[in-house]
Amino acid sequence: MPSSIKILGRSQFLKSLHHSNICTYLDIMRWKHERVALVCEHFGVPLSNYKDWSPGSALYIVKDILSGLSYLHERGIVHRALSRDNIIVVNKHIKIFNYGLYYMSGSGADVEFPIGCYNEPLCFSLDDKSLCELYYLWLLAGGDVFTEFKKEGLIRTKPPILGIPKCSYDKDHCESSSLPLIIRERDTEYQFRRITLFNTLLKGFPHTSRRLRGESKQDIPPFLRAETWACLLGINCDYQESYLLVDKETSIPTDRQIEVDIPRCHQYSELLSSSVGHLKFKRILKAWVVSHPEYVYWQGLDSLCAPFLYLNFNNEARAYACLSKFIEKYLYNFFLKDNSSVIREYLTKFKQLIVFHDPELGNHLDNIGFAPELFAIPWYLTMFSHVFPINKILHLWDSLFLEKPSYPLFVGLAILQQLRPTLLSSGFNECILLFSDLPGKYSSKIYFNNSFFFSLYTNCTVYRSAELLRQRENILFQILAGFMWFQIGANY
Amino acid sequence: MANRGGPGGRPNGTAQQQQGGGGGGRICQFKLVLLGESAVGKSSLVLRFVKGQFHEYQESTIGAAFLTQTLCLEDTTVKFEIWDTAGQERYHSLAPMYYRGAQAAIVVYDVTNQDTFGRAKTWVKELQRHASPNIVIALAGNKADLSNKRNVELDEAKAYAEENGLLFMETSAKTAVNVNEIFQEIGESIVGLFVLVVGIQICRSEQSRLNYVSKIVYSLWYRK
Repeated sequence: MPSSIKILGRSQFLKSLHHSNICTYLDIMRWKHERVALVCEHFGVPLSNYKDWSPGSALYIVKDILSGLSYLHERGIVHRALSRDNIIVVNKHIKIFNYGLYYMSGSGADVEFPIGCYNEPLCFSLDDKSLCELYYLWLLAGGDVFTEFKKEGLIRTKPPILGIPKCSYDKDHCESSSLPLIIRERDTEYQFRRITLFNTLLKGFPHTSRRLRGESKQDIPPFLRAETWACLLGINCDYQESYLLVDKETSIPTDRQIEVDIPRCHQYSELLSSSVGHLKFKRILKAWVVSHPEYVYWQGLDSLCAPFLYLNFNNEARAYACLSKFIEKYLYNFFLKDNSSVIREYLTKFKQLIVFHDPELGNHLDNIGFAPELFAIPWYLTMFSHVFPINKILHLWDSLFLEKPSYPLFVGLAILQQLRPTLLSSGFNECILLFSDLPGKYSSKIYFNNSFFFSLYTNCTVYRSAELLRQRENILFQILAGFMWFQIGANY
Repeated sequence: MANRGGPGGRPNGTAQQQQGGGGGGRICQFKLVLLGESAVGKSSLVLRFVKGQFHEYQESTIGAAFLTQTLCLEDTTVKFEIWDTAGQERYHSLAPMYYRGAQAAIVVYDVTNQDTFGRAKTWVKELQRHASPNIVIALAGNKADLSNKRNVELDEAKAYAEENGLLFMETSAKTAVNVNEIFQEIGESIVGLFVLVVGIQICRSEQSRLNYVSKIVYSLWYRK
């Protein structure tokens, strides 16, 4: 594993440190040639250039330094490069700078230079808004730390941050809401408004629950996705404590399986492939297995956990709480030791749905023997997290969390609909190859675009209104369902 | 689905044979299943055989994955329909769906891990008991490139394979050693078996059957 990946994983923790006497780390990223760049708050005068050494100011300097250091020490961080250049005075206030290098380099093991030497930081000025938020918007507005490095010296020309709107949220402004999701997510102005709105809604949760769900239907700002998901899933407020109480260290028989699965799960993601990522991954999975004795670990649980860990990299407890709630709601009893009847029932419903909506396709698939058991188990056991890359799962789950547990069936249907022409003109082998599990097969062919969700929603609506009709034809349907039960049962 | 023998919708236990157009060569379709403990390299073997690729961190398989690959033997084209199954013990109950009606199976273990060899033996037993009687079983000791960390001795595995009438090779999906070879050998022995079975069915009298079998056995022996 390259050192830069190790450093990247380890240093995520630094982003979670907030104290009035330390500079906040905003971002850590990896670049070509094993370079790692840190983005950190830095403004004011270094102590080496500071002139006012009256007894009064010396007092607050010492007090602030000590309180900053003790905050770091409590969290297991040792500065190891404390110097007058690394202590900054801002408006009669001290901030400790550059404290993370020793920690993130694994006590210096992952870097070739002695701790204390580093490149002079590049500086750009920021207004006083929430720093993290502002930095995120700066990135959206086209800011690129590495480009800044490249044109070192030219940095004082107008930085892209000046492109961030200074106006407040304008309610009438909605023209961009009709643009494709991908574009909306990259639109600085739009994200600025969404983040402001969601910040308010999240602060007012659960009072704002209905509004939050309504707005999430439109889209969820990626910057606040982790918090929003947690609210949508309705995790308990004592999640930190309950996670703390679970034994995640004692070895259990499932360990071997977890250990072989984690290094194979969404490893294209730099975070998830780092050693810290692996550790966190293992702890969350173990915590789930230990605290759900009625369930067992099935391969696929790792994929299910990945998006939550990816979003909550610095908040294992929240990742765990989300995972537990998610399984409870959408994968009820899927992880029983003997889950065959649960899966069979689910897949039978899926099959009924296909036949109900698209008899032509349903018949064709049935004729060629293309049964859901042969392709849809990884879909539903992992709610598609095993078959799509993380960026696609995030969008899919955004919509899933707003819907009933039956929604995934419609997602499956919409996927089949998107490939309908190909499926109808193919035999068994071609069809199954289309959904084959090996990388790059079909995940690149499915787009969660507007038309995908449109067909999804119309299908849901059609089905629900049809349910009313169905109640009248209940007897006929029961016969039909019974017939299918028999057919599928014969397979086992 | 009620009358079908499982994936592929083909009747159990027989290979499909088509007359190739013009060239006179046979085309045979065989169903092959991969079994073995998780993370021993089943998917990697398939990926190497089908696409010539190797991924260090190959994703785990859930349920099963399906792929096909064609192989040319002397006068026969063999098309493999490969079911690559999930390794975790819990998925065991799904396995019969995939090995039912298969003409060949590769049972894979990891040469660096003795437990996976034990698991492979269990799979072999299960196949001998429940799979179709003519199934060709191959044992693959994968990750042979890590033989300096070996925990399963070559001789031990070889002896076990001979005892149970299995084809055997140590393979490496990473370095591509013996990957095509194991599939080729499987192909040859199924084709041989296929010719034998069809031949026996064609022969009418007891005597001609006997002659035929001894001829085939002789020719196979001679070729080796």
